[in-house]
Amino acid sequence: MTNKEWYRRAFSTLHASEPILLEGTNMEKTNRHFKMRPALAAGLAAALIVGCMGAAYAADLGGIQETVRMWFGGQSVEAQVEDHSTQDVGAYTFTVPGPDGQSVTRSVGGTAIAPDGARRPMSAQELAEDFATEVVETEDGAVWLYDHDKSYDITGHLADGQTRLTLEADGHTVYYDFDLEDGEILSYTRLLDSVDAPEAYLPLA
Amino acid sequence: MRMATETLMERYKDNLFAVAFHVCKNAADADDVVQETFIQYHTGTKEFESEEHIKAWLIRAAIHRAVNVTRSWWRRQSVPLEEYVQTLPFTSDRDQALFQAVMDLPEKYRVVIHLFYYEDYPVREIAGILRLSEGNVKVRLTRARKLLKDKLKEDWSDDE
Repeated sequence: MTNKEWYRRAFSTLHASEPILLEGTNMEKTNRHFKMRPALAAGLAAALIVGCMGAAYAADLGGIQETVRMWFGGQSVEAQVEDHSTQDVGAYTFTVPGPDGQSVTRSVGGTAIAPDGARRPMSAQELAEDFATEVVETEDGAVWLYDHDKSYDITGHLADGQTRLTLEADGHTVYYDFDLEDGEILSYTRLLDSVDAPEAYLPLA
Repeated sequence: MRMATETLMERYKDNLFAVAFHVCKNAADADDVVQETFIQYHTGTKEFESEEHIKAWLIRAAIHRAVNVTRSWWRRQSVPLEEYVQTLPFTSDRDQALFQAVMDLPEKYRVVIHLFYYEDYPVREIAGILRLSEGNVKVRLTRARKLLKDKLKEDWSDDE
């Protein structure tokens, strides 16, 4: 048996959990939203399920059950929340005021997992926190970074390879690491400690 | 060209999981990486030349995400690697020894070794996926093989 055959046999034991099928494929994709993981209190982890990453203009919602105050697009807004949660997964559709006066809906869900493995549905308020930091590519190709009350057009700063930006938001200095390829964002990370020397990060003003 | 996300999930979810696991050494994080990588593909508009091109892009995106996960303060609470390894259905102790030896390698060696031995990518392709020079990939492969040989002794043959 060659090393390759041995290696493949040993690592063929690794299998992914069944990925969640993507819903909302027929929804209009207006802007592209690059999501990070939800921030939860220390000691909790979360499985984030994103039903529809694209924003779509609201249809008749009906069944609105509550409102939450949340950060969206760099502004504090009052969102109407539709609850689709199950016993294990908190799932909500948020309807927020859009930039042109029309409502925008976004759907997201998640499960909070305690260190002992106990699971519970995430609340609407916990998941609303997920929208406080977003990177959004608009139809005209511009890339906007939203972090709580801050919003920046970062289009001109992004280049293939690694781009590092820093800003003050929510009482902290935060550091963003972007990886780009062929002009597309492959991934990004928001950290409270810089991976590299702070001087390597371009401050956004 | 673009392919249906569901088709790609069916074909490549285990490939993405395996490569993400090589970076994260954590099944829960690797699962998240798989999910997020497919969402990224699904919401994207990038056109590809072939299915192989899509697969290479998915692997590259998964590696980037996995590396970011390991940098992040936010990581899944998960069973320790040793406990997780005990749940895997190895066909022999020898297979488990190889698995553990690879997991003990530094991250930059684990990924290169995986792409070479599991995905069967040539050095040139690995260099493209990881944005490294071919020389750098060769050096990493050589050093990783030596570490595996030191640990696995005669079980690890001298072939490539």
